[in-house]
Amino acid sequence: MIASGLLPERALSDTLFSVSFPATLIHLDRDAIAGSMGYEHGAMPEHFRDLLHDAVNQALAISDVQAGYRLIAPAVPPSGKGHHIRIDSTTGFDTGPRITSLMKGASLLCCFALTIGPAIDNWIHELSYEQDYTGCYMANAVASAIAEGAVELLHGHIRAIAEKQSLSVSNRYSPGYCDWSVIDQHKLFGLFPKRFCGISLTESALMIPIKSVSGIIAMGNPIRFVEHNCDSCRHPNCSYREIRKAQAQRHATAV
Amino acid sequence: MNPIIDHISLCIERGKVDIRSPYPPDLKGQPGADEWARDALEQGLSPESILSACNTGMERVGAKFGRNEVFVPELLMAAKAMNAVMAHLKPHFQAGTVKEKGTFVLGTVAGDLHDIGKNLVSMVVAGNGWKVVDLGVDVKPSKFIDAIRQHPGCIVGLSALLTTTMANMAKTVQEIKGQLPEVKVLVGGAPLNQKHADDMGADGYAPDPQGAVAFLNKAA
Ligand code: B1M
Repeated sequence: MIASGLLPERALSDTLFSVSFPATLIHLDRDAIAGSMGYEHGAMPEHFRDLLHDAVNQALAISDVQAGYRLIAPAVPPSGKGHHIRIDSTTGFDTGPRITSLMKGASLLCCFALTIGPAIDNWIHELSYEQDYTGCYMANAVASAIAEGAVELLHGHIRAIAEKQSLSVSNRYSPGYCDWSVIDQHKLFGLFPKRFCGISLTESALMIPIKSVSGIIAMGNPIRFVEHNCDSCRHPNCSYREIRKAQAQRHATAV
Repeated sequence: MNPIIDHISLCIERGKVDIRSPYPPDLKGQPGADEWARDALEQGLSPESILSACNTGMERVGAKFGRNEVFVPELLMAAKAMNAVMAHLKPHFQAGTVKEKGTFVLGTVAGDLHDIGKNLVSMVVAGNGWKVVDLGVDVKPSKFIDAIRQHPGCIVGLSALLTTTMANMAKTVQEIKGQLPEVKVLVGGAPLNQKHADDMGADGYAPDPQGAVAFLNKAA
């Protein structure tokens, strides 16, 4: 899904931009969050629903969304063949065959990073430290949903920018998904200034703060938005699949 | 059987921690695991029978989890109720009149800072009557090996959330098995599956805290 609309942004250079917006703009589907924990629609016990409700309010209040992106015009538009995308003369991403094929003909590549800030990490750790493990589990799930929701808004912003140039956008793809190794995070972050959006990368390619997302979106005329396909993923117990299953069930019962 | 024993089992199964706890709503205002455990000891019930009541409760909630009737939040509430009982039994553990099922040395592997999943596993495993030695996050193989030597007979649990740190997990398993081949190693975390565990030479893989408990209880 992509949210719609431009967000406030600041140009840091001709190709580098920062975007920040209040977390309250993010649409949070509480049923989907409960679904990510395993509960079917409406089946989460009331006590946990109340905890979830409190966690949502608290998390939205302390989230500090910082996002940014670099627009790169590849010297030669990606052919869509092979396993790589060439960014410039020195950088290329090993995106694997599926993502590579979906970048075919891109005139611009938008490499992005986003975090919902360190306060969220601290809050989750405090709950854990206080041994409030149920609260901690809820907080973790809510924070993940906020990060996902924030990326959706950023994606909408990027689509709006592309549309201004009469370009369409792809879905978003992240190192660590669909055969694109998470180790490429180092190359991706190499395109940004140090501590871009307040995010640092560890040697093992972990972003700090934890609730952060990075990725790439292709822009161009031949580019199409292709929904993520759970069937083509090999992850055995991905909670996204559970969320989608729950959403599909809800959709089926609604029609 | 003394009805207190049944109360304890029920409080564990339903995650009723103490009288102040609003969860579960149908037991609101009633005594919880904390009060029943205190009463049980005051009435002279043996610590073993209290522990066994707890195990019954944990087994029941574990079975419900296996049938998708309850999920991680319910498991965590049950473990919290169990910990309330354990606080009363602590002096008996220290005196050696009752024993934990065994020791579980647990940590997130080198290079990885994720601790939520590991902490949840720790809580539920402890709630199932195991002594947990939590080494924290970013744990180097040598630290695991030192801890194993300090806790002879322990089982080791490794957690990781990224494929990059899964490589460190494989190295950790190899180092442990190289130096201490008899030690059983359990691995878990979002990017893993049984095949990864087999390829690493680990003895088991658990997708969730209840899976870790099942592995440990079988291995004990
Ligand atoms: C010893 O015995 C045991 C036994 C059981 C054990 C155990 C030990 N340790 C854990 N367990 C088990 O019990 C615990 C309790 O149930 C569980 O612990 P967990 O820690 O797994 O569970 C948490 C309590 C809840 N689970 C989670 O928080 C993770 C859920 C999934 C869907 C997920 C989420 C929500 C998120 N992510 Co993402 N994310 C995925 C996950 C896929 C999945 N199905 O799990 C995973 C972990 N992520 C992945 C990736 C790639 C990424 N994520 C990222 C970002 C995000 C969000 C911010 C959107 C969000 C939160 C991330 C977070 N780390 O908190 C990025 C990394 C963030 C960072 N800080 O570096 C990014 C790198 C993507 C990017 N480029 O932006 C994948 C990692 C694999 C890899 N390729 O390296 C991933 C497996 C998804 C996938 N590709 O299938 C079990 O694993």
